[in-house]
Amino acid sequence: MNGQPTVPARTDARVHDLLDEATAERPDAWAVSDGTGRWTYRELAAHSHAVDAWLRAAGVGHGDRVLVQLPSTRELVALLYGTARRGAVLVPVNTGMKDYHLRAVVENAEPALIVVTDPAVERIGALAGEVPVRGLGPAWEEITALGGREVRPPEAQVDADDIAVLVYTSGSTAAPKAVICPHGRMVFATEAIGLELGYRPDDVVFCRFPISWDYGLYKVLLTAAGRSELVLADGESDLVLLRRIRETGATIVPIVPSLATMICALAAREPARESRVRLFTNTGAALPKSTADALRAAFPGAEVVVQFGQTECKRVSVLPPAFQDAKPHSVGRPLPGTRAFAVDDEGRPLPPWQTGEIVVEGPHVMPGYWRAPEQTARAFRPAPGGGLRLHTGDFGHVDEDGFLYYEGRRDDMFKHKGVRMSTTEIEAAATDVPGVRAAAVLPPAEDRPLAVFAEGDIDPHTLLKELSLRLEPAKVPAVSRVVDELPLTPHGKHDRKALARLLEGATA
Amino acid sequence: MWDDRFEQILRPFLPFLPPQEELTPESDLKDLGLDSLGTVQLLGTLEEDYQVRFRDSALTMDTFRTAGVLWDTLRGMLQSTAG
Repeated sequence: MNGQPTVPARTDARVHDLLDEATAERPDAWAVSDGTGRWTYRELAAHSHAVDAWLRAAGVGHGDRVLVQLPSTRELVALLYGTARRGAVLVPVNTGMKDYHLRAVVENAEPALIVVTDPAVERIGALAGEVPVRGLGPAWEEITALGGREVRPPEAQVDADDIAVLVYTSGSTAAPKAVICPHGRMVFATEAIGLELGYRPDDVVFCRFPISWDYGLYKVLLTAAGRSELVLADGESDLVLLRRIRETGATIVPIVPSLATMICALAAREPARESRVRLFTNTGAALPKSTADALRAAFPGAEVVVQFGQTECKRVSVLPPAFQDAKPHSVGRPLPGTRAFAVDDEGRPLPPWQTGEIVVEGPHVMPGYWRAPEQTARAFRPAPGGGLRLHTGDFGHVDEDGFLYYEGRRDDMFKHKGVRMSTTEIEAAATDVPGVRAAAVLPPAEDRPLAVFAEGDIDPHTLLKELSLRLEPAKVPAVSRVVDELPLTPHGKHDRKALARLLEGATA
Repeated sequence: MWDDRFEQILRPFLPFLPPQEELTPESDLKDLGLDSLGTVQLLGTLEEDYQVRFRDSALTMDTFRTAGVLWDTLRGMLQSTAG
């Protein structure tokens, strides 16, 4: 515990309780806006009831999965809350996810219903087998018709332990896997983060990330918990990012380093101006100091908050601005009401400054991966004091005050452009490309881009293009090399040091 | 078509385009690997190199859709600066 005097986050609330409480308290405050309009909390709540009624009419019941591949608009927020009300499980997948992965996700999630954009209905229908696939256009017409008649089904029995969302994320295997996110744990994580970040009713949160990513997903919940307004800006051109941040009166801007770089590049085109932004919250990877400084210069008065986490517990730690000078290299302290520390190979807690695997305990630790008992058993182990202990696969240490320091990964996972991925999944996609016999991927480093190496009869640029058809944009390497033979270690693994040298030799 | 400098600036932002392959006005830049961050950086590079400023109305993904459209937009600005 980090010892902060706080009203503790709840463990027994449901996702839609956050919306209903915000609506009861501030019915006419703005809840959410997108490129085409905005809704108050009252309106959003009404739409979510209509979604509940629509799902019920479609035969969707408790525990059924509703898979959506949709842009992040107000309608998707209503679908999130409406699905939660129904006691069903929302499975939001990235609009960038290609059929190559989508097929695996549909197979794994076994949805009862799929909702996609109208032009995608046929394509998704072809890979979904018997599962009904609906276009959002006609579906939304039916939903608004139900809403207009104020049709409200009897309230479904939904408990805090019921699953609200499955978040598909990259695993250390080739296929995507889903983190099971029950209502109670999502609300706990939301409220615990809220205690550290302090979202307020006068905040406008500018969300450039898709709701299919937990970073975007939790912005929906955090704004409701804070009674704040959410601006969904994922579909917009990044060229107007800066203008939109100013026009919308944004006060909080969640970032990853690559987004921050873009904002800074745009800000460099024009003189600094007054801004309402008070907080940039970073995650995904360490934010270079030069970028953080450039943000503060372009947005006078704004603070940059460092955060650290993974979907398996949503967030591990937050470094409040007050501690940044004292602990500039820390990724923060554990969320209030949770624990995070380094352990040795036997799972024994290590003293301060000793490096080990970072483990996490608390009510935010999710119960595991969907239909993946082996992977679940590896990452989610029984904690000595009861409950679950999440083995993050991240290495680091704590200091004497319990603040965390991240040092690296022990497997083939890494983050690029804020997105978690593994060399395995990119290598699997590369070997799926005709002409490629074998492939190895080198994660990006300080002065080295994400790179793919292939053995086979293929042009390196064509390989990148083929990868872009199989992987979402962030996972497509920047550099591609075709070699006669991939260097291997004596143990038969890809020799990443030799690969790195290959890259240096080639670019020099 | 366009001047050499334009193509020299543009090519590094297009990782899927083999060096020996021709860049045509119809080439879709996104298909050739121009991503969001690349677009923003390309904007800054073009502005600095050609000493122009893209108007807000030109800051759309359409402007950066193909090499031809981007060059036309840029040429329009160059002409209005010159005239």
